[in-house]
Amino acid sequence: MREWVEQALRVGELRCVVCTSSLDLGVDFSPVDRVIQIGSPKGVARLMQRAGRSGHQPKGVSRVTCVPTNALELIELSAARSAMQAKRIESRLACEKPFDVLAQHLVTCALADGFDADDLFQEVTTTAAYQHLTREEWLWTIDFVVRGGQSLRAYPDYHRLTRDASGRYVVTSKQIAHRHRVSIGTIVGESALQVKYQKGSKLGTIEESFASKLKPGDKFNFAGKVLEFIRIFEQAVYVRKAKGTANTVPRWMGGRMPLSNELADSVRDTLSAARVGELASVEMEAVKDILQTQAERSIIPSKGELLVELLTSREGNHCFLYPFEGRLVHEGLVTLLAYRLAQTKPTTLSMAVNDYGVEILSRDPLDLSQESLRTLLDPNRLEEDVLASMNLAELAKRQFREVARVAGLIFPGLPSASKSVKQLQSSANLFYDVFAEYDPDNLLLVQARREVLEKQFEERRLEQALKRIAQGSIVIKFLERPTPLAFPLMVDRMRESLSSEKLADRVRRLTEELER
Amino acid sequence: MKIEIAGTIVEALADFALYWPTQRALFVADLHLGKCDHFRVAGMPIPSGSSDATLSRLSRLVDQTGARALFVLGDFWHARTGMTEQLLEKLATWRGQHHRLAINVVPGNHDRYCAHDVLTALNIKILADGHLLKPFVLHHYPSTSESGYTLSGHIHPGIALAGKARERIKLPCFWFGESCAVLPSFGEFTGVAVIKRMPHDCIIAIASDELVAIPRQAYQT
Repeated sequence: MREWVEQALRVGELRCVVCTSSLDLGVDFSPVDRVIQIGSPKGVARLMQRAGRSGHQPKGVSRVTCVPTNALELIELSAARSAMQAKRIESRLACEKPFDVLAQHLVTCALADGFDADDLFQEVTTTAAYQHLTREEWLWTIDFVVRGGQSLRAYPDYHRLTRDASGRYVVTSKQIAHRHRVSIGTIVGESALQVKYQKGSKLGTIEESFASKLKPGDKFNFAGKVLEFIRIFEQAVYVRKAKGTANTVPRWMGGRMPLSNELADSVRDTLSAARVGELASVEMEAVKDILQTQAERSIIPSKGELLVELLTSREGNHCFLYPFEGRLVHEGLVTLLAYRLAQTKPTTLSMAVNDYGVEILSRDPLDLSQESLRTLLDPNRLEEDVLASMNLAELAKRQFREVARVAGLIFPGLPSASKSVKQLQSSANLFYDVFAEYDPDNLLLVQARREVLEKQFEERRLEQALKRIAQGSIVIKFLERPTPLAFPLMVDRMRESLSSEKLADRVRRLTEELER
Repeated sequence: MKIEIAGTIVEALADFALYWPTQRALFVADLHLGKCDHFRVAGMPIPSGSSDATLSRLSRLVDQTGARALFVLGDFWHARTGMTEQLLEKLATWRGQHHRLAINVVPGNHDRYCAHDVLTALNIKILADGHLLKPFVLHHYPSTSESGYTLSGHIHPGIALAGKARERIKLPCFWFGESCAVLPSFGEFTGVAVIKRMPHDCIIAIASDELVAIPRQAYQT
């Protein structure tokens, strides 16, 4: 399919291709005139990479048109242009020793033609990511794919790889080979369901998160047709052809790329300028009304100050902070903040993040002042508190899901999966709990925790962010109505929670609250 | 927590079991023994230990209550392939530690292909689905019966509670209906499925080491 698309594009047979970012990597499409980027690219380098797919020849001019999917993205696009003009472009960081990828690679090599452990070690350690791989870690990974790891207690019945007569590692089980082939890759997506007509012919796949929200009779566009949803049965979505127009649109979650450091910085500059009335681009002119509303209900945050908005609604007490550091740093920051808040008294907090800010939602009033916020955002004792907060929050569990999937530990629900395979599925949370309980030193668990720390601490960005906040001023605004910056956080349903209350107390409180 | 059902008093325990004091009988459901072994046999490196933990929790429960009889309401095993030699040895040793305990198993859907003679050899009795233990009827699947009040398992019941400030909790629970009770799943490494209760059902949630009765009005999702 992909080759056909590439070829047809090259010879001019296809005039326009709608695709994900996977098509922009490593391919030359000389005849592409213009790239249309839907939504924010979230990074300066990423925008340039995508634009570079057009006019890809000597002296060619690359053209890109960005289409924002919400008004605030206009600010990002304007900021991206200034950053590009100022040549503030992100550098790329190599991953450090991802064991999940290594484990998958070993099985792939074994499947291909078998491998010799020493030869492969030589080869693997020539890459930047594994240059510091120790012999011990290498042996652990081999042990993991051969016997299931856990050096002290052997897994008696487990064998993904075996050694042939010449000592090479190979895969002998057909079932294991099949399972590996269908789940190969490092991009962890949502689980997909097959879309089928009742007679059985297949149309493609949609994500389970979308399919599960469909009601019988819902119509959606798919595979160039309008389809009516009938039911989900045995990992398949049954549909029939429908007349009329669709009333819902299939969605693919995709990866939620965080705002890069450089772009985040440029967004802060752009807003600072807007605060004093400088709207330096057409994009900023277009978003003027929204900035005006922000200024009326609160203020437009400028560089060097942290805007904190407090709001009481029917839902509870909201606290919004806008550090503009990108969602990864914000995840770390909000977890830290919630953890420190929960240390002061037993409470349960709900948290949301986006690229601009964070929200903490509490049923009890949040007693926040300049002084208490300074203490809560203190860059000292950072690592200690982040480590402690990680155990309370779900961050590590979520990361483990990805690591475990790539390492072949969790088998994703595949549309073609037979019943016998389904018996092997279990929720990633359950897996996490089993590992944490019975094999706490497993390197994949260690990797998941480390990746959370590294991502949230990427080049110590969280620490830098807190230091910046500590040096700047804090502006607290009490809101009557949510601001344009607050609103997307308020309605975000992808939330984490953190509690320092005893579980039984929470349950009793919840039941009493609603009996009244 | 004591509850009166079918004219007799039973006790729900925070250890995921139901105890019937007058008969000194202990009921549990869904042990899923050998689940991790089953995964390993299929080439997925899940650490062992969960079956051991399930058995030792059961031991503690038997000792604490002084139960004379144990009834397992189905899914004793997870899958045939998980019945490894090591596990069978452990089970035999465990049985030896409780040789005076009468153990009865109502087979569940997961036990379908698991040879029963392994259990009968350990002096564990296999009961027919729908076994009468007046005033109770023992089933794996929740069901209603004219001969008595059903005690069952299978669905791993859980309750989801929601409150202000987008608070949400999901907990395993006991589910006592008008004519049928569903026990929480006892085994380690087993999940929870959120139930839809009927107006008169009594729900008792397990909040780590405590039981909390969930009133009808509580907002559930």
